[in-house]
Amino acid sequence: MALSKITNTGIGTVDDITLSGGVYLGGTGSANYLDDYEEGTWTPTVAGESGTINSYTAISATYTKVGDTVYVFCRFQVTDKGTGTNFVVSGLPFAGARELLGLFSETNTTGLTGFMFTAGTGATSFTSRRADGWGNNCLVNGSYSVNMTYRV
Amino acid sequence: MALTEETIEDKIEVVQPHSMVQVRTATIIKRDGIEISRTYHRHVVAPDADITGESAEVQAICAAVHTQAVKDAYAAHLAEQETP
Repeated sequence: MALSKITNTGIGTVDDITLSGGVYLGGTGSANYLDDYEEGTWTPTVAGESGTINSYTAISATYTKVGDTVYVFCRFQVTDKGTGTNFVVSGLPFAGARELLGLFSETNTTGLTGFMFTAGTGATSFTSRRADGWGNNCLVNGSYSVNMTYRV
Repeated sequence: MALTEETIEDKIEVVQPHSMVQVRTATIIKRDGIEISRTYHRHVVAPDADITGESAEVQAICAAVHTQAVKDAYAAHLAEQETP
């Protein structure tokens, strides 16, 4: 463990703490142990679940991992949906998704909303379904925002 | 004052099941040789992925762990997934 920039006397102010291991919070059991925290970016690749999307732009994609849970966010814009129907987003920052909760919204054209799911354990992508019907086409030309949480 | 930028793959992990290769790329900014910023970008290389754009180190790891048996098992896993 390293402490930096301790000011005054004692440990009144500490700017940074670096731990080579994890930390127990609120108890000493395994359920209290936090061993990983990380923030970063990832690159989403968007394709049609069926058919072909002709043109899209990935605008931003970030993740935050806390313990065994990953929070991902991404935005992309579909400019030519081609023959694509639902969309599949690949490139998740961590594999091994066991459980997933995801929501998406189309923000500037139709206001479509729906859910995301993965292909189960080991998944590195997720697929869209509309809120008003699993079989309905999710894909329009517009801007999408996705918020998703999954476990690794 | 000299600012430099360095990009390295600072963590390459093989994660089970399916021997997924997780790659973390760090972009490090240094001022006069002292690190002042580090950001991460991640991607995962699945057994069925095209690895031609990966670094030589990642390609070597994928070649070692993504055996035909692993690829076949992963393909079978994907095929058995049900659409909700």
